[in-house]
Amino acid sequence: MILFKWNSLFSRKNICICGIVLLSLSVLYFLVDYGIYPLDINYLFNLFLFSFFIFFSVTYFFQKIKLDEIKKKILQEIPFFLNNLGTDLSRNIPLKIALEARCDKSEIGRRIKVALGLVKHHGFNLLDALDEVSNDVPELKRVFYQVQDMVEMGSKNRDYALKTLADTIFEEQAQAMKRFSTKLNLLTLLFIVFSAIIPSMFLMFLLVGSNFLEISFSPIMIIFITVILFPIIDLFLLLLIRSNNPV
Amino acid sequence: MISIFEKYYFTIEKKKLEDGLVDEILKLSSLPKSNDLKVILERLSKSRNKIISNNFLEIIKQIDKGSSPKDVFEIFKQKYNSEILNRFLDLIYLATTTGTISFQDYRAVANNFIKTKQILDERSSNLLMQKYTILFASSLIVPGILGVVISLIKSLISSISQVGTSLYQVTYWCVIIYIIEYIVISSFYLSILDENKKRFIIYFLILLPVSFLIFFLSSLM
Repeated sequence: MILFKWNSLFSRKNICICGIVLLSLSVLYFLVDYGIYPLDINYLFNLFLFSFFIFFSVTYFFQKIKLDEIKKKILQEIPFFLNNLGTDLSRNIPLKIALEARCDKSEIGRRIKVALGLVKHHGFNLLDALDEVSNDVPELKRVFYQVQDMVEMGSKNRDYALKTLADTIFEEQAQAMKRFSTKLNLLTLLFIVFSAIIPSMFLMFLLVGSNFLEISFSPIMIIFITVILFPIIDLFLLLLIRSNNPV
Repeated sequence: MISIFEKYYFTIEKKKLEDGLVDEILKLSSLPKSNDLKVILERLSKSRNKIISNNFLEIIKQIDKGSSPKDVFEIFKQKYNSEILNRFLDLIYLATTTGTISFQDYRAVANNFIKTKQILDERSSNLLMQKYTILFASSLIVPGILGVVISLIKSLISSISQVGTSLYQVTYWCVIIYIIEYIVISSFYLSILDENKKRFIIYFLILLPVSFLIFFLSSLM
C-alpha cells in the first residue's frame, strides 16, 4: 500500500484547523453555560478530547482515501504498462528508450519521468532510480524488480515474464474485488444497524429507563449521544467502507 | 433534473462506446496492415456500434478539413473522459506514427481491456450496492423506524406520566437533528461515490424532504 505519512496528518494546516474548531467549541460552551443551561467544566475537557480525536480520525481517513485513489490508479495502469513494455523489449528496444516512451500523463508515466530525471540530473543508476520512485507502492516495486531481474539476467523471452506478471496482477485485483464484495455485505448490515436500529433502541431504553427503572438522563447526555455520537459512528462506518474499496 | 437525465444518458452512451471498442480492437487485430491511419479510421467509421461509427465519421471529417489527428483525438478523449477510449486512441496514434504496433499488440490490448472491464464492472456493481443501500436507508429505513419509535414514546409517555413530556421534547428535536445530520453525511458520501462533489446539493435536496415526509407519516402511526 502507499505509505501513510504521520507528519502529514499533524501538519501545521491541520493543527491550525483543529485549533479553530476547539476555539469555536469553547465559545459555544461558554455561550450555553452563561446563557441557556449551567454546565460542568468537565464537559468542556471531555469535549476537547473528543473533538481532537474525531478531527484527526476523520482527517486520517480522508488522507488514506486520497492515497488509496493514487494506488488504485497505479494498479489499473500496471497491466497495460507491463504489456507495452514487454512488447518494446521483445523488439530489442533498450530499456531506457522503452521507458522514455512510457512517460505519458499516467501515474506510472509520471513516476518514470521522475526516475529518468534522477538518472539524468542526479547521477542515479536507472534501476536504483526506479526503486526510489516505487518505494511507496509495493506492487510497482515488484514490477520494477522484475524488470531489473530481466535486464540483469539478459533473458531471451523478455516479454513473457512481464506479461505473466500482468496476468497475475489482474488475477489478484479480481480476487481482491471478490473479497471486498463479501465484506461489503457485513459492512452494509452494520451500517443499517448503527444508523437505524441502535438509535431507536437507545430511544426506547431512554423511555423505559426514565419511567420504569428510574434512571435519570440529563438533556446534555441525550443531545450528545443522539446528535454527536450516532452521526459520528455513521460517518466512520461509511469512511471505513470507502477506505476498504479495492482497485 | 434535466442535468441528471443528461448525465445518465451520457453514462449509458459512454458504456456502450467502451463495450464496442473492445470488439473493434479485436477486429483491427485481423487487419492485414494495421498501421495505416486512413484504413483504421474508415474501418471504425463503419462499425456496427452507432456511437463509434458516428464519432469516427466526425473524426475523419475533421482530419479531412486539415486538423491534425492528435488534436482531433484529444477532443474526442475530452468528450468522453474514458480510460479505455484514451488507451485505444493512444494505441492507434502510436501504431500510425511509429509503425511498431503489430496485430499481436492489438490482441494483447483487447485482452487487457476485457480483463480491466470485468474488474471495473464488479467495482461499479459494488458501488451501486453501496449507493442504493444508503439511499434506501436515508430515505426510508432511518426516518421510518425513528418516526415509529417517536410515536410509540409519545403514546407511552402520555399514558404513564406528565414528567416525561420534557424528555420527549428533547428526544423529538434530537431525532430531527439526527435525521438532518444523517442526510448530510449520506449526501456527502453519495457525492464521493459519484466522484462529483457538486451532486451533494442534489442528493441533499431530494433526500431531506423525502425522509421528513416518511418521518412525519410514520410518527403519526
